[in-house]
Amino acid sequence: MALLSLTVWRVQPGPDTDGRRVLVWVSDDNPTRQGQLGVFERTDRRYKVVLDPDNTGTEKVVVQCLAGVGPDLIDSYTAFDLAAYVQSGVVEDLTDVLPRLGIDVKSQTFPGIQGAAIYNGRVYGVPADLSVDGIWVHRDILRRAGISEPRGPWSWEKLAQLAQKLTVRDPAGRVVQYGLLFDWNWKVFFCTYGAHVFSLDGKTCILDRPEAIRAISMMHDLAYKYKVAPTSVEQASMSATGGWGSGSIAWFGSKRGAMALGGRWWLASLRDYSGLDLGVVECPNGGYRRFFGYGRSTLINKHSKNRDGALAFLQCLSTPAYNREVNTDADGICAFRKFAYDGSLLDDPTHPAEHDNDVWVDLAEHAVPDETSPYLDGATVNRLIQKQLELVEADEKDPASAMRDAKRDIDAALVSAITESR
Amino acid sequence: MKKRRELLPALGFLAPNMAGFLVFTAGPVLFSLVASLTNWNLKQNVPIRAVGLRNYTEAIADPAFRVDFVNTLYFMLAAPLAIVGALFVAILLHRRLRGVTFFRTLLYLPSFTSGVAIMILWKQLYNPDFGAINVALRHVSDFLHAGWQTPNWLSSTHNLAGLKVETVGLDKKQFGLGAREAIIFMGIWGAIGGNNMLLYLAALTGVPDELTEAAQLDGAGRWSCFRFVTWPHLAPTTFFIIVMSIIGGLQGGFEQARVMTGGGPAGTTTTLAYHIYSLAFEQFRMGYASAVAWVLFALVLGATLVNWRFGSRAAFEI
Repeated sequence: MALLSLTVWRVQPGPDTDGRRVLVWVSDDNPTRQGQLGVFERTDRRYKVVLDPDNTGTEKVVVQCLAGVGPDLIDSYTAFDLAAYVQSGVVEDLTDVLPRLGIDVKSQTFPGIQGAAIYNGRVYGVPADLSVDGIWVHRDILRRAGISEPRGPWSWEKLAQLAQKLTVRDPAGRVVQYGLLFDWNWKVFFCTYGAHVFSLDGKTCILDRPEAIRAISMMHDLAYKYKVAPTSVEQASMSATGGWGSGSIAWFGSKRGAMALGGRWWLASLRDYSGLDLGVVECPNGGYRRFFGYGRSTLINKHSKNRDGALAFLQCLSTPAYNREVNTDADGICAFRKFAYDGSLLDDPTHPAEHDNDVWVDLAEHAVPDETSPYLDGATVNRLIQKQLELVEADEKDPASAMRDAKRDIDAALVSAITESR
Repeated sequence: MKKRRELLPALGFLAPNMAGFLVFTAGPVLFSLVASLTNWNLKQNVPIRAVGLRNYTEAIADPAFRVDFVNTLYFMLAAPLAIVGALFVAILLHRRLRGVTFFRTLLYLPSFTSGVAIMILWKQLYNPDFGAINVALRHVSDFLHAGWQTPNWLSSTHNLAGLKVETVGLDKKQFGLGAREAIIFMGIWGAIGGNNMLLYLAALTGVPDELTEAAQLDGAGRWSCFRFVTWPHLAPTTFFIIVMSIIGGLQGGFEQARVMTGGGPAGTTTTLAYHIYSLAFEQFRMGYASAVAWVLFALVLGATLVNWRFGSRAAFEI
């Protein structure tokens, strides 16, 4: 058994039948990935890229890389992911390498996605796409309700009032059409209220500040005060099916919601629904026109045996062909800013009905990345906040108490981590 | 001399197994013991150093550990019901009836079906809106004009003991059916027709027919036959099942939390096993997670020793 394990450990993917070297890329199973890796394979015929969607998840990647069997290319989705990879020492520092490939991440890409590529001023990856949530609307539903399509900038309160008009119940009082669908992503709300998790030095949690409480209160109120969005129980119904493009997207696609908070990447699924007349409005704000940016940056395993191929792949991410592929396939929008203003996005002839791409670009310009503390890992922060949020979602705890308790728990974790690092 | 000649081939046959055991079991176990005495956390900027027993004292003092331990114990409440159910089913299937093989296979089905598939199926059944369980409950409620509020199952922190959410304690507002019960009911369903049933079936075949017949000739009824003839013969099996259920219960709950709830809502389905996983593979606190794993081992060992001390005599005295 030991011999077998050693043999497997030594065996790396060899050249395929065409003699091409195989690059293993850990990313999600978004249907657009095949098109994206196709761009690279057409550009550089020396390599074949194998997508490995089963091994996404920071913990799997870190353990595999440390064991010497990691992938060549790793997608990092958040600043938390990147921090975990860097702190574990499994990804290559590309700060001095990328300029030689003509890539300057800081100046060429949208700042909203740079958190997944830059850590402590060092560059570890190349942004591959960017998503920012806007408000999807079913124009036909709005027309039938005699409501004109809203325009941003606007407030969450305005959105709630509009959503109330669009929420439809059956005679038994059960909601048959929600005014708004959203996935309780606290980061989206936090940004628009100017809230932060950490103080500037990253040593203290400031979740108990009024702006953070206001952000969480608005999430809660949309479900329980305005009653325009699903509660956590109804949310559970949505996630029951699982799989890519499920949950809120499926409900919105089947018109169970008149509006929905989501990114342009939803189009990868929504395009499969027939008869939709979709519009996009800027994400509402709570006083700050800052929007949460998320997406992917691709990193290189420090111990990749195909480093040259992996670098070629990263270089491909900055090319017009790749960025236009992202725009056309609607995997968010391209991460490299200049391609957001060319025809592939604003006047895409393959999807002439999609008129609102300028809204996505505007959102991207106002997108801000995830915030991290150098002292505490993102998984712990997320877990402690999520635990409190689940109580707010279930209406079992008021937002102020939840945020105070989250602050208490995160501060305790920070003290422990800071002591540990000394 | 002959013994020595026999020893070498025996060792040869044992070697592959021993090698596997040393490399994949004993080695990692010892490694984790050493790791538990360090601050190892996979972070390059934190050099690995010995911290003595600090991880152990922190683990025991950690409120999250205590809450997750209580969760684990709560899930173990399913064990007696599952054991009684397995015994009942085994007695039914022990009869020489037509189609009994079919029913044995049917009841054993959950044991050889993919656990993840079963959990996803149950997740659908527990769906608060359109899951079969709540739909059925609503029909019954309508029929009886009872006006029941159907449980929110996997989304609810409520529980039948009224356990608090974030701390150890009781709160009557928490009374009800929630995620914990959802997992318990699923566990009982799976366990009734599982390995315990097979063990009882095997044990029932070992009960001498002549003893039962003699008891019946002496006028013993069905219950008396079971109570005074069958049950004493099942005692060693029951003892084994109880010991294994306690060990399994203390180590259990990981798959359910991973697949069905993510340990939530608000940590109510996080057991010690999931707690260790989260510490090691989400927070990368390998040293600390190892210490918690050893604390869990101590709990398992302690529970097993108590079982042996107080249960084995009664089980094997026949």
